[in-house]
Amino acid sequence: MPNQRDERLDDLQLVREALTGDPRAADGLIARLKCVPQILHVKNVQAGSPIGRDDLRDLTQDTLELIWRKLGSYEGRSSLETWAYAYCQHMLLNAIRNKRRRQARQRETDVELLLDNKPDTAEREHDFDALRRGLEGLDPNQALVIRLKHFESVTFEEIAASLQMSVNTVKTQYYRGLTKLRESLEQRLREEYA
Amino acid sequence: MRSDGEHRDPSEAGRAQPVRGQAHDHPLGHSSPQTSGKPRGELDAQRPTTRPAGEHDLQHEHWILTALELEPGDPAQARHATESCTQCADDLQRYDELRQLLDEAGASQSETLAQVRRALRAGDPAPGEELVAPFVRAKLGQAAPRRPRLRLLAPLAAAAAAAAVLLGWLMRSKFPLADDHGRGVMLGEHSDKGLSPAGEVREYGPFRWPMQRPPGGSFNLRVWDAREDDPRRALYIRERIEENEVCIEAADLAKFPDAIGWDVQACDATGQDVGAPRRAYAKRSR
Repeated sequence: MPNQRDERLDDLQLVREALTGDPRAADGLIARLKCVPQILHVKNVQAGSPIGRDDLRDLTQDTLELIWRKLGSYEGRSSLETWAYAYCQHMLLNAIRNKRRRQARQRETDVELLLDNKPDTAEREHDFDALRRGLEGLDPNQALVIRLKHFESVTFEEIAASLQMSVNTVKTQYYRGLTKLRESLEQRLREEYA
Repeated sequence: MRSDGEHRDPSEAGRAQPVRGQAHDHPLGHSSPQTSGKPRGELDAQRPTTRPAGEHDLQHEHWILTALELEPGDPAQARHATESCTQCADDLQRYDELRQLLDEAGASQSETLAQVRRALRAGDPAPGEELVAPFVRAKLGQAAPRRPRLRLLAPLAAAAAAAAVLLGWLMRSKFPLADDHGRGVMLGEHSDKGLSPAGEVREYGPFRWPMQRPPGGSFNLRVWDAREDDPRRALYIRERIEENEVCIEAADLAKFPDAIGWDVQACDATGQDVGAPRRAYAKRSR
């Protein structure tokens, strides 16, 4: 936990310095953002490599653009890699869906049949992406507690110590966040299937 | 959640709205904790129809929170208790599914990021990796002039540059370079600090520069005729130097004119420039 905290604060400082034009920080930022093509590559392989090498290069460029637009809002609540991961996941999922839609149009096939090539993976990735968007809509503290609990496997006691809150407050934030997240996911599901 | 004696504000904890947006509409009313563990049909038959909804909400939330291990108590017993109420059981199941989804998303993310870190440590290439450095540099290059401090400095810098050009032209016209074998080349003050050879030297010797090499990166060196002073028309180029000095072959050194300009550029692991090059001028007096 202390190491993760240091990493987050280092990343936050790095981003701030780079954005104010410090050339040494720019080098550090380049080194940290090299995770972007790697995340896209690894996730693409996990999904059965539906995106080709050239398209993956284009996707890297697009993802970097998206991340750069959002970089000013990075608050160091997670490491830069973890923060960038969510955008990479979202961009890759969109690229896969778009590609399969194009293929479906060309072959006059039902897109869902093509999406069902790897049904479990595609469906789960879709759920994860919905989860990410749901977390973005939460109060930042509630989202942070949920992320730390489930994504970083941190106990409530450790979260409380890290955020300088009581364990009860952390649990309350967690429960309220979980409830709102559940509602937002169910709402999204209702809209999708309406 | 109340185990350590801290007062729990109902408005904060949401006790009054246990599962937001989920109004209870059990046609048979509500169960009580005493009825937990009994078969469903038996429970339905025993359920009173007139108990106030608020009382059930409190019990309902207590079961859910205990089952989720957010309140003290036996989670297994609380889970069992929720089975006596369709609504509670359904709510708990939804929370469980959400927590399972969060765990899976977390595990997927951890696994991916671990793979990414291994690949980065090993230097495994990924498609598009070479785009990162130029992208960031281009973005920072665009962003820099927007900084207010630099906006104010820009006219001053332009005026200083114009003055330098004018001064250079005047000095050059006063000390022509074309036919003096380098003797008129201005040395020393045009050289960046710490670079060697610089100024008047007996031999050019090893070329040294006290610069920090970027992680995994290298340096590129260029040497040109100082009288032309055009680095693009280099007489000698050596790239991917991993030390802070290089010894040029004597045969090559012999071919150098008596006045040279040279610079060294730091590059990152992908060969992209890092920072500005550092430059020096040297005059050989044999």
